[in-house]
Amino acid sequence: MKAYKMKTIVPTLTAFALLMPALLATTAEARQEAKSYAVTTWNAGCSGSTRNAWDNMADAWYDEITDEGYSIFGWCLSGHCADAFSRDGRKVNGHLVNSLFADRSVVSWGNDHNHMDEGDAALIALHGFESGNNYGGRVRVNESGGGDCNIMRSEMEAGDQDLEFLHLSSCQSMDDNQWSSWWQGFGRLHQVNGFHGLMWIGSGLVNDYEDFADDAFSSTIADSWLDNMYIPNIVDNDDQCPVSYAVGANSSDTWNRIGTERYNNVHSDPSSIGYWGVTFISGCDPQAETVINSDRSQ
Amino acid sequence: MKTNMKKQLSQLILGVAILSTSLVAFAEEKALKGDNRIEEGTIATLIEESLPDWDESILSAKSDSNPLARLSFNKVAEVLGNKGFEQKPPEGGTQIAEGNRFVRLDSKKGKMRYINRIHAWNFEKDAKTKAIPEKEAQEIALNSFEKLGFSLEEMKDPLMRMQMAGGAKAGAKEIEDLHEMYRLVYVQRQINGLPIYGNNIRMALSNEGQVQRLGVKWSAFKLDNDARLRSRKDIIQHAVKEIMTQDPDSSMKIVSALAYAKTDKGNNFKPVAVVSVNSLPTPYQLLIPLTDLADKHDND
Repeated sequence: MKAYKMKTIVPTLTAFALLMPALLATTAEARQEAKSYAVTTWNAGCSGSTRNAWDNMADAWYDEITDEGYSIFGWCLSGHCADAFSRDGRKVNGHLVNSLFADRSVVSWGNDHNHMDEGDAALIALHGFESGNNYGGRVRVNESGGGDCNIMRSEMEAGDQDLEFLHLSSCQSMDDNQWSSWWQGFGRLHQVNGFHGLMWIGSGLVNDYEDFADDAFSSTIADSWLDNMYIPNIVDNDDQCPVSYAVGANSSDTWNRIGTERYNNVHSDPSSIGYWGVTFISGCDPQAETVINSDRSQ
Repeated sequence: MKTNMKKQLSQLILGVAILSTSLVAFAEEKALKGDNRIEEGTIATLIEESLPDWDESILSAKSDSNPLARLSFNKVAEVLGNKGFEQKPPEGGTQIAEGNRFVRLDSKKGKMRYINRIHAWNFEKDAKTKAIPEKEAQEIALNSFEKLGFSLEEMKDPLMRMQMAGGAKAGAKEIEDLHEMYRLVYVQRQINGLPIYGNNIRMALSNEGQVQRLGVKWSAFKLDNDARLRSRKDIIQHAVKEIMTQDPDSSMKIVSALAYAKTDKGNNFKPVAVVSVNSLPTPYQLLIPLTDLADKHDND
């Protein structure tokens, strides 16, 4: 009886082993590329308060968007299978300078074409602020010849190399008074996701970044950002207010893009920028800003 | 002479401009770091003043509601007004995508996601339509949640919101077009009168009253069996220690609340103090467990 069983099992195992590469459909096709940049400690020349959980939030996004999981007979049982992005670079602290995000067509020291703009989707997690109607993020190292410790929106022209989707885990990265000028930071970028007012950090918020990446394969990136990052009354009556922003040749093109682009449904680059559009949650009232879309002067 | 004076004047203006630029840069740098001029005792007082009281009853929270473990793809389709799925996922399959519909059911992660792209807002078709009334949306949502098996007793009152789309021609200073895209229903889960951190339901309804998407974060709820309450002093000291590592600012504000949360990779929930720290420049939340395990007490 035992011998009979062995005879049956051995060929089955052999066939299974031979079929494994096909069953585990980890394709070697060209994948979209994800990049993640996060700072937790500003102790390398640029000042900023330490925030211990920020890298975990960025990692949750990075691990999820690149999670291949596995499929059997074409059925994706876990992860994102063939749609998963490749791990194209995770940078936490270290030599994180502003040139990684700045474009050389805007500032001479810009080097985004070798860094952020080389990926297809990028997440940047660092302290944010607003200067005039211009978003700024605080980097870690003041690079020689690179201006200062900040990356400003006005120093960016993302997407002229490759980038399609930019996610900013950063305060005031999408304040409503910046909406009328954010399109100027787009090269051939498709979409930016950020926050009106202050955003929050915490170990309990890590799953939101994982869920954002997960959901953006089935619902639009814009909706997924809103669904997972909107936190009403996160403290007292203050909310966390996510905003998704896209551009297009005209209004119809813009709404089609923001309304259909997913990580696994990426349109061709915008042919021109004739229109910008945002989607947000009405009445959202964060710290450091007025109710969203109620006063775009500050 | 005139030329020299002009040159000196222009050098002076340049010097002032550089100085003011440096001062602005300095001011911006300074503003993004807490001043570290606050004593541990002061932070402890801020937490003490904001932290609600609790007692042993916080350990008596229970829930038999684990609807995600019982739901099927076809049940989701039926409740949300769709025909059943033609495909049958293999054993262990947690997601199904068919046509314009997608469902993920992951009871281990406590997560469900439903998308119906047919009901997505379409500029050409929906630009001039309005979101459905709040009352109607609330009825649809609560009805659906109940039919899906989620306990209404574990829900706080729904928050009604609207997802908007706004845009303008590049170069315009103001939004030129504003559209109502979806009526949103947001429900926070609660047990024993306290919120379950990170557990909620979000539904987006089209302007025709159809469910366009549904996101559920609703984990099986169980507290550690052998958990014991830590002292209030211990909790506060724990929070103070965490805050001291994150460049506290003397102007910081602290708001604390109680909740249940998962604080590690385990499956069980713990009662926690949610300590919200609004300190320059980016605010953060700490989840401080109110309990530790009995064997840890024994080892102390």
